[in-house]
Amino acid sequence: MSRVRDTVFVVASVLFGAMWLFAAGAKAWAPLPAYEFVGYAVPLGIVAKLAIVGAVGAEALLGAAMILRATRGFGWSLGMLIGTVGVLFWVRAAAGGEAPCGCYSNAFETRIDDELVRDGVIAAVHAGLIVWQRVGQRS
Amino acid sequence: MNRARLASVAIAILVTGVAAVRAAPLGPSLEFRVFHTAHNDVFDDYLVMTTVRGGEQVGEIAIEPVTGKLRIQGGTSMKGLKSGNRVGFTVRVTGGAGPGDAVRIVLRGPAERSYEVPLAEAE
Repeated sequence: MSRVRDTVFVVASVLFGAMWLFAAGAKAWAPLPAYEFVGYAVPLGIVAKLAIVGAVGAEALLGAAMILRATRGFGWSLGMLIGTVGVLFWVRAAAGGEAPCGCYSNAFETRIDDELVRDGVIAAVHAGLIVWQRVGQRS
Repeated sequence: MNRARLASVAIAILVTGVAAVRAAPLGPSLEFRVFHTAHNDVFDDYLVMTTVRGGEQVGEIAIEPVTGKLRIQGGTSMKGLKSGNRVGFTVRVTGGAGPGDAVRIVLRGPAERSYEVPLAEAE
């Protein structure tokens, strides 16, 4: 049972790590949609550019760490998801739910409301994995 | 620091560097799609769809012909467009369209730029 559980954790870590790394890479290569998105929340220009570069750096570090298993567990990933959802709600208040989110740049042109639903599902999976991990550590 | 952590930091630095280089020149810009809307023995009509990008409002967008046999039908400029707004310009080419036919679209405002848009790449 513990072997199955460990395999699930490794696969989930690699998959979610790939998700973060892909989001970072897509935004790094074509940052315009993300720039327009953050423009609703922060002043455009140097502040918005720094916000994008910071977000890309955090996503890339988390993604690489999860794929390479430099970090165990899903707490950091869940924290980043909660932060992302917070930013999405912040921008949604100014731009509306139909505005493009730029989360994956031009690779997937998702709307804010679609991304909120997707992030909610992914966050629930993360929470489940964290609980399973804690239960496994106790037994 | 173990190898996996070191590799993670190296990847993050690389991706962040790419993001910084690619984000640095961002500002108001235009995107184009050209459609061939009519064709007969006398003229060809093209629709040049222009989309404002970059998150900011632009001062003015104006279109002008690059070659002599082109004529702009209707309005030739538009003011106060917000990011995401689209404007369509209709261009008529008389005497047969050629590969060198193009229009110049000028973006006026704080970040002034001009684009030469070839009609030969019409969809």
